[in-house]
Amino acid sequence: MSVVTVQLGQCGNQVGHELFDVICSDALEDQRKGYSTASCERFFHQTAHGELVARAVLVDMEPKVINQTICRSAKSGRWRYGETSHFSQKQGCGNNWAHGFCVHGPRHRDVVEELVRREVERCDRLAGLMAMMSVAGGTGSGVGAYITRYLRDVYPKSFILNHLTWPYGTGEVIVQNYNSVLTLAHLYHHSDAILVHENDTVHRICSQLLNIKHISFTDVNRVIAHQLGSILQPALTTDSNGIYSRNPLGELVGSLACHPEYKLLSVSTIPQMPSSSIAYSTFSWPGLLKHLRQMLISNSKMEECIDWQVQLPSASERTRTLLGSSFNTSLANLLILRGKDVYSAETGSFEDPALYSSWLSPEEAFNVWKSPVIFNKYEKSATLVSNSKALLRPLDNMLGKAWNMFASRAYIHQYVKFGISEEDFLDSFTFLEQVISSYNQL
Amino acid sequence: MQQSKAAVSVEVKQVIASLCKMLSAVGLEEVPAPETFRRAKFGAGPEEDQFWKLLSNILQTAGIVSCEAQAQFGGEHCKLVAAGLWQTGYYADWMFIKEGGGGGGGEERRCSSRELLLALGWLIAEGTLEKLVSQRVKKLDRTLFTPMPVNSQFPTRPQIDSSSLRKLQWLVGSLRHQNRILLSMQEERTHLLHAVFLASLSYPESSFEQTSAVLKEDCVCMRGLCELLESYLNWKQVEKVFWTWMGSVLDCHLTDPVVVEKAPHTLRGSAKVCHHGNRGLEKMENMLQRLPTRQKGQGRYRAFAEDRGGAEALQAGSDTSSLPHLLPSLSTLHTFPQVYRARLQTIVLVKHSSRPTDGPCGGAETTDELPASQATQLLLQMEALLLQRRDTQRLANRMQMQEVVSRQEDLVLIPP
Amino acid sequence: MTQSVVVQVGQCGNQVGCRFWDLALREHAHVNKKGVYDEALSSFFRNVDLRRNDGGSCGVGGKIENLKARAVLVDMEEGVVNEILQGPLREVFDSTQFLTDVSGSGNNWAVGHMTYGSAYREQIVDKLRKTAEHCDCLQCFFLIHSMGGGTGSGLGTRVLSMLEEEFPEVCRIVTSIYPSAEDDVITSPYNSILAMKELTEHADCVLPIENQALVHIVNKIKHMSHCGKPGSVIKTDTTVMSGQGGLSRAEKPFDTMNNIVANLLLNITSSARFEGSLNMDLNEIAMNLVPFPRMHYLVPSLTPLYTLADVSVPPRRLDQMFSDAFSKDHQLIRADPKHSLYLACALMVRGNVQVSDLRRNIERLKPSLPFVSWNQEGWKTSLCSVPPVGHSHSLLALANNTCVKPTFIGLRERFTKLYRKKAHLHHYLHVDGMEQSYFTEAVSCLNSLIEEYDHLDATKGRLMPDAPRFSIAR
Repeated sequence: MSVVTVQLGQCGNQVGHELFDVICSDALEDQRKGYSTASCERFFHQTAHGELVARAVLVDMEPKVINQTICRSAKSGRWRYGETSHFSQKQGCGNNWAHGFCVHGPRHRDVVEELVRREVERCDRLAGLMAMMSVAGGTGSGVGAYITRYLRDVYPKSFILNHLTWPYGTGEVIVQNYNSVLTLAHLYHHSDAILVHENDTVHRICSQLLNIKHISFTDVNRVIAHQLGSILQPALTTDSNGIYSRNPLGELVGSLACHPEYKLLSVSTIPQMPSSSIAYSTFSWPGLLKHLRQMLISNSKMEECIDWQVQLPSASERTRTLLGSSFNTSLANLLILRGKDVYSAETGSFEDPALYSSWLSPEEAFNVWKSPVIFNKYEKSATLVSNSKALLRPLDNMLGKAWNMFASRAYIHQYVKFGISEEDFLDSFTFLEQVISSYNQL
Repeated sequence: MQQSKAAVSVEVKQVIASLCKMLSAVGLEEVPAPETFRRAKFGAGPEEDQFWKLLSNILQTAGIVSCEAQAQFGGEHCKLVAAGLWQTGYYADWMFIKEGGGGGGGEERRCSSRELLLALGWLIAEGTLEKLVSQRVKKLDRTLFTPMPVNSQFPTRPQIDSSSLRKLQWLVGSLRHQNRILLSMQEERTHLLHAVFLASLSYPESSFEQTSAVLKEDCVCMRGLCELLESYLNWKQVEKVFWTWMGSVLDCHLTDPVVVEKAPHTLRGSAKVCHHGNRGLEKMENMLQRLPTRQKGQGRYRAFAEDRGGAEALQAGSDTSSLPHLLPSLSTLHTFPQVYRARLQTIVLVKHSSRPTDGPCGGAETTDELPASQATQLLLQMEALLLQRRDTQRLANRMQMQEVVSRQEDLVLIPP
Repeated sequence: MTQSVVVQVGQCGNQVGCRFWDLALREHAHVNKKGVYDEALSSFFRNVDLRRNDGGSCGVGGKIENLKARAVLVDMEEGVVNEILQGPLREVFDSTQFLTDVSGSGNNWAVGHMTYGSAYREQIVDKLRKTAEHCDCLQCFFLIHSMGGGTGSGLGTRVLSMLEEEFPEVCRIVTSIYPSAEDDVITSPYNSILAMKELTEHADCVLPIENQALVHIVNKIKHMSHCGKPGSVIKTDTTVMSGQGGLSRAEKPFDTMNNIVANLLLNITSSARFEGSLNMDLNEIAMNLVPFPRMHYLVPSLTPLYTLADVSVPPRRLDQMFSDAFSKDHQLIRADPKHSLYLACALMVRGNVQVSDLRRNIERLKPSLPFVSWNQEGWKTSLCSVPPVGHSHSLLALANNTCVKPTFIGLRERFTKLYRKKAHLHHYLHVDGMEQSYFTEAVSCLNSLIEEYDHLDATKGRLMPDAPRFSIAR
């Protein structure tokens, strides 16, 4: 069962390329045939000459990044992008979401749809679509939101997962908060789940865990790709009876994002270290899971910054709503374990009802996938995809800044010029406040 | 007129043939030839035996009659069939002609093959055919996934507070996702089936023999499956004609009864016949109690029972199983104060002219009879009306729900 | 790749433009050693094979044949343009790109805007269209003109509205040279105020440059070069100091000043022309820096303005470059951005500078820079890997800052002084189509613009509470 990826804008194309690279090297490295076959079928199709071609469509409004991405993949020698599965224009959206959503999106949707359809028809079976983009710029976010909406119309029954890269807090684009608000509000209606990576967090992982001195965008994207890969590579679900799960997107969405108000997913992976140190490190499942669990409840995305003071709330505390509490309530969690002795790993500590909201029991809220195959050279690794309050703070910050700007009506004329009115902004603001309120109630 | 009649009869022949093909594809043995069916319409003949066998086969295969019952009745078809038909809620005179006739099953039990044909019609209308097809498909299709066990424990009276509402929303979402996963699985299966089918076409027979026995077996299954589905499809396309013909059989039966020996029994009287714990009876009695009093007063139970047959003939294509529930509620509608009996006009007229009867179901002039076309019209109207009522009810429910949600959930304030 | 077209109007506009083309050629010659017509070159130049009759341009990737500037030159006297035609740059233009008259506008905005604007409208639009047709994907018009004279301010602003009419999709960035307070043109306050209204209404971005600020900078450079301190000898082959190495040899009095403006244009387009790890398209400038449509005056500052000949400069110099960009001395108008209010700020860096350097300096400078309450993180950055000729790195800061206000107020004062006496007014009102209401409208337009800046300034230093958010009732 296959996933068709749509890479949108500069960021989406760069992250997408890294993802395929990680998946390809992981699939080809392992000797277990079932695993690599399942992985390859998921993300690649084979030409008559046996070449692996990514099931991906590349979309950008300027040619530079796409040309670069295609070149780099061809150079890898292991896999490449389809010769004709990309689309670019000459001039970007100039960081303007409205330009992407109202002008470029509608203008080029048929071409993009045709490209996507071709990839879909190449699949024996479609598990779903994954759209990758950033929320800051104009192309990824604006065109991306439009294309997602359009694909939802064309493929009403398929799963659509959006992978979003949140920009750094400052310095990239001045109107990034506006663009983010509009993107999130629109995607929330049409996407099945929204998986988020924050640049700031990933940047810290690069500097503190991976000890990279001069961090480039490639480093950041590689970390994102590693985490995404550990989610999307084949794994065994609890009731799959030894067969790799057939529908990764469906299973992911079905176990984490069933409620229409809660669609934001965050990821944490353990362990992450410089590749030179992996060979000298040993891990134990209880140790990894203990750390991962504390990362979850204290909402730290990095092993190094775990706050061990945070504890599960007692029964009496649960009745009060503790907004100031640093405890991170989950709605649903999906734990993915990969590596040696995976079947001996004890995951009971994630089934504590106190971890979850009062209205969803751990049986419904918690799922485990396992795979005995070593992922990306880590002897044992655990990834937690979580639908929790973890993204509440960044979302609230972003919304607050955008709202402050909106209160002065700054930059609005740039959006009005292309057909996004103040009312559209207000709609998006209200909607996201609603989302924040929902998460606050967990 | 002659020509068209001939055309109709040819068509009927084909339709019955497709039914026969269907029945044997489902896995039934000793299916009577199409011509047998046609002769059965006129009652007499040696076909009776074949029909007893067919009916008992169907009842057994569909699991209406359990294994124990089979053992209890021994090899006796008639009892078994009568009991089985009871289970499905069918009633006819011949079933009660003589009760408790343990050993013989001789001449007293004899009834015309036409009545058995009617019983067969009832069974088909009840959806037995679909049951058989799905059973057969399950048997043949080895790639079919067993349905996931879904935990469906709901509190009997759901409380609408915000957290159970959220839970409910979660569950609904979860179901929706599962549905999509299943749909995509089905799509894949179709793909694979198609591929297998193409492969079987392109390979010469000889190459099959080289492959393993398991594969061969699978292939046979797959072919059986294809045949089955094909024949079912064929049947579905022509089913309408069959029901028209069945209607004519019914009319024929009403106007020209082969075995009319005794006055109709009341149901209460005959209830002794049935075996303990009969669901069909319960169902029937429920229905009867809901009948309008006026009709009860007229004591037209029998007519009602026949009504069901007639109405089913009309409803051929649609979901017949829901009809018995629908009928009582129909009769309570103001616009439709009375239960009418439908007749198929053309054939009825022919029959009438040839042989008027004084039976309880009388002439076409009686106020409670309607020509079939008109009845169809009325039923369609009724259906539209009911659909409309359902929609308004749904809408009202949704509005109410939304109101509750908005009260429960949250109001949005416009900023200062 | 997108292309830009330069439209230079009037004496000043053409002189600056001339320096720009000279430096642009020099910069590309420096970077492009293979003689291949590449994407970067195509953004400002066409490659024409003269052997072909159709005059069509060659595609990207071929050998450089004849480079032709994507430019339209307009002047209502012949002097400057004739000089160009006889000078070393004559190869870069062909006759179809020029539009001249003989009599000049007599320092009268109305003559330039009304008389010539109407008379030459068809011809100008035709030339603009022809130039645009040569572009694969036209992204931006750069208009260069002065505010004081007649042709630059009058006809220049008329051309601006033609651009808006004919090419509404294409971004319009205007470089306007503002007159000194002691300008020898008596009517320059009239011309400036009338032109200001046009700029406020029809431009996407305006880069205001004051003659006085340029004079000040040039004096400072001269002072540096003559003070004779060891190790502080100024390199003469940098783009700012001279045209040496370029096509024209002779140094003219205003060349240094014009070089600074030409450099500004080179730097602003560098990220669109050359590669870098963080690109900035031209249409991103207005998108990020213009929060309100009329407040599109972006104060430019360039650093470094000169490079000391001594190569063993301390590594501190990179951070110094960032500090300089916010100092009074490096602004191209006389203003002090640090003591006014920032609405938004873009840093366009060229040369060997890393993201980490950029982030470090933003963090370092941020506390000393007042930003408007709703845009505390109003930074837009770009990194271009190709440095300007003669430098290892450079920085262009574009600030949307309320410090432009004093310049506008000064203009208004000089205007009022003149207008109260009705001095020279009849020269304007004689012109066909000109009415007194133009003056009153122009001045009220300027008033309201100044008021808008006042309004924002008033919020400075005050702790602005966050706007109350939506509350979701339960």
